[in-house]
Amino acid sequence: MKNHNQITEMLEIYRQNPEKGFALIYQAFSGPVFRYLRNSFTLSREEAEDILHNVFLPWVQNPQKFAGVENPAAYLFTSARNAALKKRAQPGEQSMMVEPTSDGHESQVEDSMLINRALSTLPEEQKEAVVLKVWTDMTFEEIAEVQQCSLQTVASRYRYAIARLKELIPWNR
Amino acid sequence: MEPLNKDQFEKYLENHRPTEEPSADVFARLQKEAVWNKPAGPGRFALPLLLALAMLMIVLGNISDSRVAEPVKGSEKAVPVIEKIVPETPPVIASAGLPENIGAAKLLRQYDNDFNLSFAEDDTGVLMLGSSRELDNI
Repeated sequence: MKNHNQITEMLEIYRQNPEKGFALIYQAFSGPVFRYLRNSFTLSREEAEDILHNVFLPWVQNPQKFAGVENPAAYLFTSARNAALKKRAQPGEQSMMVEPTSDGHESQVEDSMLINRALSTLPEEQKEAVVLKVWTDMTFEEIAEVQQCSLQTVASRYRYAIARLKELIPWNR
Repeated sequence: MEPLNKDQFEKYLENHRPTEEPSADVFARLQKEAVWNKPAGPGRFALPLLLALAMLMIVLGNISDSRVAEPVKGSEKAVPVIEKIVPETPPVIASAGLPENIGAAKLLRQYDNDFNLSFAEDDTGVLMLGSSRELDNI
């Protein structure tokens, strides 16, 4: 993800030229938010894309309001999280594991499948902490803002999750 | 609080970072719904226009009401000034009628009554019934 200065610059462009600024913000955050939705909440592509669309929609409909957002990463990930949890609470919704296509050989794809399977056994908050920290490069502080908990809680969740994943994944064979 | 060094396992996880991206259709849908791609038709301004009209009607209503209650300076109707007509009391002289009922003659008659004096015997009594100019000549 982008660093603080790049994000500030993107927001400034968004304030002056919403169309151009939005394209930059979308380019920077759509992928990480999408992968977060897919891997933390194990949503299908369609479900994750629907949520992604809804998360970004206010940014194109009301640029004046969103020009004041100071931390777009925290805002977008929190919105995505709330939408995913809301979807999860709907009757008939079940989490599914993200299964990459496998060709039956030990390859990058197979490793990814093992990781996803191991992740799916973790409590949701722990899985979320790993996905945000390792795959989205967020700091514990930013994750604490998204998960609305203390820094210590996030750090504990992350360490428990890493320890459990080490047991589950034959990573150093 | 941040781990100083990532261990080998964390690096292993990083190397298996998913690279999946959302389809371009999401961005296209967002662009269609973007405010900068919506034509500025009459429907877009319908609500603000209605609100503005309602406000205008309220303001005009208030102005017309306030005109009835408090006339603008200089626009009020001219009201005729009704002066109080004090009835004139008729002058004492005019109402006295006979000369014997006025002034010194009246006083002389009172003296006449109170002190039993009779001016009739005197010539001055005749004079007293005359005019004030005649009195000055005495």
